[in-house]
Parts: sequence; C-alpha cells; structure tokens
Amino acid sequence: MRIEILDGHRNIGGNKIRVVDSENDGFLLDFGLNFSRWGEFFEEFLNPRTGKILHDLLKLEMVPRLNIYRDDLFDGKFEDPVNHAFLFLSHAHADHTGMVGLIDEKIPLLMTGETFAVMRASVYTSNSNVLTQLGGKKRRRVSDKDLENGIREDLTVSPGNSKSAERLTRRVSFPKEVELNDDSTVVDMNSLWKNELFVEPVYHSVIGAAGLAARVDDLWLAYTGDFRTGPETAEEERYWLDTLGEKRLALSLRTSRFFENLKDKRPLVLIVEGTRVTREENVENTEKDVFENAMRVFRGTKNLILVDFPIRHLERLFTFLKVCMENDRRLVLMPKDYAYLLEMERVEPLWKLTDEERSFVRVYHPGKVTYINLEKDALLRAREEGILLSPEEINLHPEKHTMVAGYWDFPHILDLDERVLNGAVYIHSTSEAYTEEQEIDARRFMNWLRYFNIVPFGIREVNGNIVFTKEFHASGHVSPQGLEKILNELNPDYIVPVHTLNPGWFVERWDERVLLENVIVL
Amino acid sequence: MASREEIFSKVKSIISEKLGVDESQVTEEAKLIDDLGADSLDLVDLVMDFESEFGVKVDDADLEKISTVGDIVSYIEKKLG
Repeated sequence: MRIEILDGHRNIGGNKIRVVDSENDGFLLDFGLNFSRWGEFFEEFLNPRTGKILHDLLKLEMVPRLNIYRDDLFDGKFEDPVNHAFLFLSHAHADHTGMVGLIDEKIPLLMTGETFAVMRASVYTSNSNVLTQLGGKKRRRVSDKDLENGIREDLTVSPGNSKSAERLTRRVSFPKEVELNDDSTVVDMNSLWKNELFVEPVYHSVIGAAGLAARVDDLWLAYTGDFRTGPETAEEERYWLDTLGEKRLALSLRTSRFFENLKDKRPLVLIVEGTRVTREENVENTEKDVFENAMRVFRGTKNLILVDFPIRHLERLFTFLKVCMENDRRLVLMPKDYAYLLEMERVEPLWKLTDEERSFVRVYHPGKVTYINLEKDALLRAREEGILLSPEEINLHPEKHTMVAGYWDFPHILDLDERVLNGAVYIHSTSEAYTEEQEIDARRFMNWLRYFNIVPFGIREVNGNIVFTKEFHASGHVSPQGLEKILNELNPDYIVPVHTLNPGWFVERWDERVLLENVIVL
Repeated sequence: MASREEIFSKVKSIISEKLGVDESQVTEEAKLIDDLGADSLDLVDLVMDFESEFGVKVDDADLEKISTVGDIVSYIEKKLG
C-alpha cells in the first residue's frame, strides 16, 4: 500500500490524500481547498481564470498532477498508472471538498447523504463556481464564432443557455440509501472497491461528517476526516437528552461508533486529524456551555438579538432554537439558511423539526433582487407557509425575535430601525478568524456593530485587536486529551497525522508508529 | 490558591476594562449596578469573564445574590477554596 499526502499534511485544511494498492488501484480521500496556499496568490477579486482553471492551478502547484480531472477543463495526461475507484468526501467543509468541482465526473463521489445535501445546499444557493460544481453543464471548446470574437483557442468557455451542451452528470455513492432530487447517478457503494469498505458517520461541526475504513492489500486503512467526541460527562449527556431528545443524542455518539468499528481491524493504519494538538486552551467548551451562556444573554435583554453561526452546524441551530423557545422568541433565518434546513430535513428525517420547534422558526424577507435556485425555493415555501417575516414585523417586536445573521448578511439589517439596532445584541457563535483576510473582515464587522451601538458577545476589540472569546462556541475538533485517549484505546499499528501543525505531538506519544513522510509505503 | 488580594486585583482590572471605569472606583464596597453603572448585559459579560479568568462556574441562582464587587471576590474565593 502507498499513502500519498498530496496536501493538508502540515497545515489545517486542504486535505488531498491518495491511497494506492499493489495493483495500482486507488482512491482519494477529500479534495479540499487549502486556504492558506490559496491566499498566497488569490483573493476575492483575484482568481484563477475559469477558462484555464486547471492549467493555472497546476502551474501554481495547488492541485496534484494526477489523471483525475474533468475532460472539459483539462485535456492533458500525466504519467500516472493509477486507476481511481472513488473520491471519499469526509464532510462538507470547503477545506475538504472545496475543489471537488474539478474532479472527473466518472470518478464516483462517496459520502453520506447528509454531506451531499449540505454540499448541494451550498452550491445551489450561491453563484456558480467551477471549483465546487456538482452538476449542470460542462464547459466547451471555443467555436469558430468565439474565435472570430477574439477568444483564444486554448480556453474553454461557458456553454451558456445552449441546449446541446453536455451535462455534467456526477456519479455518487452513499453508505445508505438516499432519495436524490437531481440528475446524479447513484453507484452501489459495494461495487466501488474490490475489498471491504465502510463509511461510518462521526460527530463534527457540520452534519454528515464521516470517516472511512477500507481493506487495502493486507492492511486496514482508516481515515477520520475531522471529528470531535460526544458528551464526556453524564451531565452533558443529560443536556443533550433534555434539550435535543434521545434520537438526536445519537448524533453526538457517532464518533465513538466509528472507532468501535475499527477495534477488530488489524493491522490498522489510521490517518487522523490533529487540529487542536497545538492549541493551548484552558477551557473545553461544550454545547451545554453554549446553551447556558446564551440563556444568560437572552434573559438579560429585551432588545433584538442577532446570532452568528453556520446553519449546517445543526446542533448549534437546535441549541439556539431551544434558547429561543425558552425565551419566547422566534428564530429568524435568512432564506439561504432555510434552504439548508430543508435540504437536511429531506435527506435525514431525524433532523426534521417537530411541529413545536417549527412554530418558532421564521424566515426573513431580505431586500434582495436575485435569489439563487434553492434559496428562491426556500423563500417561496416560507411565503406559502406564512412564516416569511418583513423588517417591519421585527421593528414592531424586536424582543420577540432572534435573527441568524453573520458578516455577509449584515447589509440586510439596514432595513431595520436604528432604534431597534441601538442596544441590540450580537452573539458570535462560530469559529475565530484564521486567515489575514478573515481578520480584516472581523475588523470591518466591528465597525458595523460600533456604528449601530450593537453589543457584541463572543467577539471584542481590545487595543485595536479583535479577540474571539469562547463562551458561545464549542470546537468541532477533538481535544488533545480526547485524541490521546482514543488513540491509546484503539492502539493502531501505524498513525498518519494530517490536518495538524504539530506532528511532533504524535511522535512524542507513539514514536515509531507515527509516519510523517509525504509518501508512505507499507 | 490565589489570595483574596490577588482575586480582587484581577476582578478590579476586569471590571474597570469592561465597564470603562477607573480602577480607583472599583472598591470592595462598590455596587455593580448603582455605583459602577453596569446593566444586565454587562453583568452577564462580567460573569463570563470571571468564569474564564478563574476557571469557575457561576450558578445563575447565585448571581442574584451578588451585588457588590466584594460579593464577587468572596464568591470566587469560596469556589476556588
């Protein structure tokens, strides 16, 4: 077996890993966007050229030189004899799936149905982007007419509204049956790999996260993706049970089931994430802490509350919905977020809101002219359901509402009265800024809060620096203590740390069992 | 274990920064709302800061009993003890 860490080895994100057996059959583990590398060359208004996107990314060494790309984007061939059986997508975060659009549509995408739902919701509520394209039309070569119009012949162009354009039909595969509502083709997971293969969900900050295990030659190989552990105390488990219910408690227990399934798999090579092993943290927040701190803030104000968290972080949605219910407030989602919720409910009935929960959900009617695909569907559905809320209704009763609104949504608050915004509360309940751009965004965001005298929680400015406090966020990644316990109990034969800045942490504990090379041959 | 003076010193610094008052105003006898001008949200924010700084959990029921800076110092001292 050969393990090639193509990206995401000594950095956080951008995972691209290939596993190849002795017969040159192989598979890929994630195909994410490496934000730090991307930021070295590109920013919001400086991007690779869509008409030569793979040429550009290959030249900048942002994607590996493998025969895995869509033929409408790239017609080159590399000296690489590997047959790619599938690409496993561990979870729908861009640093793991953000370049999946480039992949040859004939290579099946293996993931949970929830991950597919979140990816679809993300793609179909945003402007089209080749990097994340899941379906639609393939690009085409330039025509004579294009040449006449001065377009260079080595570029590819958008097919526009052409009815003759070739469809981009993805092959997708799931560990359990999923009802599709797009034109992807489903491939039986059992047919993907010549040996044993299983995908088991893990608990992470996005619904649908999963790990994979496959038999490769005479070894078992397992890949965790990103994960955190579930409730570690009886008190925390009680919180889940009381707040979210028995069925949803299962969400938090997914990680332990994944590792339980690996116990009898020997010899075992474990590719494992180590995001937090560098961080010095004296506080280990849980979802229960987030709930309790949010309750304090909600009880402390009669003003409008704005909460910032990604809706695909489903237990956070449940947490704030519950807090709203306890405080007789309606949770107001943007149409785009409502689209996410509908997609997730469609794929996994377990996540469906109860009638009581649903009665506390509203959808904001933003001052937008253009709605994209699923976002438009969600808006129209909210109108049909009678839960579409105008800014005026929030102005009338700010004490009855909590808006889910982040940085990109803030222009929409300009429709609210200044009196309502003055003294309103903003709760930052998501991760901190990691990149320089995000820090600039955060600084800009503080201007909004200051201008309207909105009281921030979870984020503050100290001597001109933005500080993210942790009261409203529980990390989606396993703690160093949790990881050490898991690895000691599992006792894998080989450990391959990825998604970490501190591989030495693993070497200190498991020494010669830790494999650090970019290419590992076993 | 931190002494009462050490706890008071940290509490004073947090209150001063959070409420924008001079440290000399933050005496053990000073009332958070009446003397230092804290509102209900300031209290929530302060409590979370104390929890983070001292690694203690402030029970919501106990919060109602806290009126002065000295009450906070005593509460933290007891929790740490």
